[in-house]
Amino acid sequence: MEPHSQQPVRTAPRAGQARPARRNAWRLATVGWSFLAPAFLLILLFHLIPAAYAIILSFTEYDSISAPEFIGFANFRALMKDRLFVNALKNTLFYLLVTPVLLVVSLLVAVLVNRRMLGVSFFRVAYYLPVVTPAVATAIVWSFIFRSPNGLLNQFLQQLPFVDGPIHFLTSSSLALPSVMSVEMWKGIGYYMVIFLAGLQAIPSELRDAAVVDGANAVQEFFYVTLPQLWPSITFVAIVSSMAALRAFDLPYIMTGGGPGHASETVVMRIYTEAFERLNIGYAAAEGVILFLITLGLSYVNMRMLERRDMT
Amino acid sequence: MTLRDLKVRRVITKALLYAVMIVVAIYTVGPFVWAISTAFKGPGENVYAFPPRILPEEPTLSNFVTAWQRVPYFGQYFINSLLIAGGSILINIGASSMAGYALARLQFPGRSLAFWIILSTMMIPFQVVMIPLFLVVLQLGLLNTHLGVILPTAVTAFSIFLFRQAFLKLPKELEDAARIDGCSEWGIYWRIMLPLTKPTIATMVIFTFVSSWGEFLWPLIVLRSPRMYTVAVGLAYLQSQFSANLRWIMAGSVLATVPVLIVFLAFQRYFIEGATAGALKG
Amino acid sequence: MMLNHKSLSLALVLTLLVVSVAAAQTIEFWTVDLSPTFNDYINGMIAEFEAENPGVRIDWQDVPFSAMQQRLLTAYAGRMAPDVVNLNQEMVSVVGDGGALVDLKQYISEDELAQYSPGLIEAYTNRQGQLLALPWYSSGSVSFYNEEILNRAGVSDIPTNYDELYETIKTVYEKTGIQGYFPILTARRFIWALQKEGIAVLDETGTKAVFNTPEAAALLERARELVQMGAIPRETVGNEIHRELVDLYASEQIWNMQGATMLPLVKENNPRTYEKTVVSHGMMGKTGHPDISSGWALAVTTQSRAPQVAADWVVFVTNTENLLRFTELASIMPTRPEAAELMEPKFDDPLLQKATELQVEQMRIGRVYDIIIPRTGELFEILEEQIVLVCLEGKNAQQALNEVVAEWNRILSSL
Repeated sequence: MEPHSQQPVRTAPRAGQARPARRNAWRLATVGWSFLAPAFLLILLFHLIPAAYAIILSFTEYDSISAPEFIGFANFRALMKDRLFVNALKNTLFYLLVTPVLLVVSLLVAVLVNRRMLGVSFFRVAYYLPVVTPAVATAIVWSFIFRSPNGLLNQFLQQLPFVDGPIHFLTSSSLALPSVMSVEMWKGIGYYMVIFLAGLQAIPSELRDAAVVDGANAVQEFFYVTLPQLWPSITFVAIVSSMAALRAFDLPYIMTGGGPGHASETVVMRIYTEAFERLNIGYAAAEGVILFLITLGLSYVNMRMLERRDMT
Repeated sequence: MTLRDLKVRRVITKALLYAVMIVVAIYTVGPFVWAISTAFKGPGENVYAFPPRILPEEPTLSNFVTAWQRVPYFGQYFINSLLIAGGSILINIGASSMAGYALARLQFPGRSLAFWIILSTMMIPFQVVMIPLFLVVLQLGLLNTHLGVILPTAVTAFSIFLFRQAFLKLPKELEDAARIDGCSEWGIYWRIMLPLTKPTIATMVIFTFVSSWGEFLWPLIVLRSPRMYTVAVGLAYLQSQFSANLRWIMAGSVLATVPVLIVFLAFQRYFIEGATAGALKG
Repeated sequence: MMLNHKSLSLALVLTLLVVSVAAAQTIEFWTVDLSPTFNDYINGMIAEFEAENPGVRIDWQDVPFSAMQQRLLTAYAGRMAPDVVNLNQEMVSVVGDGGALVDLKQYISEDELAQYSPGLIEAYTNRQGQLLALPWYSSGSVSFYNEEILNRAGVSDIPTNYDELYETIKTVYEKTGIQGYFPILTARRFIWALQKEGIAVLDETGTKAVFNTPEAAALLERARELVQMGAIPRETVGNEIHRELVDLYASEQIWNMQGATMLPLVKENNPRTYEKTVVSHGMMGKTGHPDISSGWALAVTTQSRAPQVAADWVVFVTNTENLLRFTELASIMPTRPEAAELMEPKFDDPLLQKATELQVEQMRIGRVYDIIIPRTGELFEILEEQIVLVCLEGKNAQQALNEVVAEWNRILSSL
């Protein structure tokens, strides 16, 4: 197989023109950073500065009305003893289980619809629909599906001989979180399918043709050609979707409100409650910092494991 | 194996593939079909019937008319949302592709650090930075402007990262050839590399459109004039303490979904096997 | 090009105009969920007030409920909070704890304040005696039922207290399989229900929780029993599910509901169910005093640059005349007894008419049951969690309430 360089390319010095190394380094830096500049400026202004300010806030007591008051590590110490925060943290880590399922299913779906065949546009739209369904509609429809005893799913299950009694999908401590996660998957398949579809386009068809000529069947082709070629997209989806899982808020918020009790409450929901319903904005920021550190650690491990081949 | 056996096998495989695709489609489309059918139902119908009735008994368009009329300036909101989405898309694709290119294909000091700094901005939940972000927007004088809605989300680590991954996949030979031909760095990016990431550009158009189209909270926080609100804010007017008609909510949701679907349909055609592969032959 | 006299003077006039407009006092006024339903009404008040007060401009912004808290707090952080904001009792107590709202007693005369229903004024007065918001609109408690379902179940007596409601829900469920609504399963409603049943929530000092009585536990046990037998929707445990309840009632999956403002929503969703609906007085409890909702109020923020003008606007919006006009548009209750007496509800819809008449009556005998304590949100969260544990997980009610009271008192004594 043709080794496609996963390695960032060094500017090749022009033949016969040996430049002073320092000038070259300076040139590289200028070129690199000027390509980066527009995006970096926006990121700096609208992401980094607010984030830095949030980190400062995590060491204060702040209610948005009076000026923040510096209190050292008090928020972090209180967090360690906060039963609700620990519970939310557990739920959030459990939420991560969405990631591997999404990864596999959306990849398979993308491979399925990545071909010229009758009705392929229809299927793509079909898989993508959940992504664009407004949150209000999503919440209403899925609440109806999951409702007990008169929800769609329960009425269907009731017809089966081996099911007795309604299943409380959203209103029991054990099932609420998994039920919300299943909606997250429903919503995510189409989203990550698009990323994989884009990734699949970059695989030169010659590679596949070659594999077919060599007598590879579809499964072999998938494992020996498609998968390795798609690796950057897989890395991307793994990292991005696990970050999204750790930030889960919208779906649990609109579907269960974190309930029953705190059974489906995620860290970001806790942050929301502390910041905007209790006015403990400094405390909420501290929760955010902890979540950030966890995400950073996980992403680093992810990246190291997945991107062996293109990290230099 | 005869030729006929082979043909039969291919037909069976194809049928199986379609069967799988249809099952997945029912799972993903089912809820939306229910939403659409509710939007067309008359006021006397039980929308919660089991088994669900897809075809309305008293079909009507009145829910759409009412939804449209009840939301003040709904038409204006569509225009606002289109402007915001359009602006976001332009900025996002321009800036993010350049940044992604630099991170994937250029060697320069601080590259790895810059990548991680950018990536780290995806790890902070919005609820935490909302107040600080509002203060920044205020300082920049962007309060009550559409630019104040666009800029904070225009460039995201997500899109930079996605472009980086796309550029990583491109073969090095292309670049080398261009360099030998005396192409400038900008020329390599603009004329050679960027056109090869068309599927990624299409992806970003689709994603940016969806996310800015669905924005609800941030526009409400930055904007002060109700005329400047977005479609997603408009939808909220259909569900309040003085109004909660399921059919209107569904009709409004369906209306709000149409532009997003059009954008998806228009851009998904870039995801056709081999559409860009030819160029890679170099 | 030369400027002639005419254009020069025109420019001068224009400049003056701009200056005077800039000098005009703008009052930023935020409401919750009132647009588009009441656009004409509110714009009418604004026009009238602006005409009466030259130089004052009211900048009205309606905010969806779900975004209000975040919009308000970000605005505070940016030192640009609105002058007047529409809040409910819970929000007033949260934001008021932080010193964000002015004491309206400084800007509004005692005579004027005496015009408002004392119970409602009390609900918006904090423990330091500051009046943090002026009650705007409220509602008396009204229950409504699906008569057809009740007939099917052979029920003829309309329940008036929680014991009777418990029995009725059970009977209807056993006979028809249709669920009921038992309105005590959020912290706020539980606190109301206790007081209606004559159970004290706080001691006389108002600083110590005492509601872990056997009677309170018995009430909670009944709710648990109903949940466990499937007679009430589990979604109502610990959740104020407003739209879903309307949905459930409209699609005949529950047979009872409450709140007169919900009636039009039921009608919108399913006119056929609406035709089968009858209204009756709200839950009285054993004391015979139904609840009056503290409803929605108007507060002036400490960041207002013209608190006096803002307070004048608040009084104007809630004056008898404007309240009366509001009552013609929706089945809400005015917060001034005078307006309630002058009310002549004339709704074309007989059910809405009846509901409004009932409410007027209930406003006279009802009580406002909201309790005034700091850190309400946190305390309610603790109570709600235990309600859920009792009803869904089968925890012993007495033990749960003991824990709640202990936790409340620990927090209250630490303040």
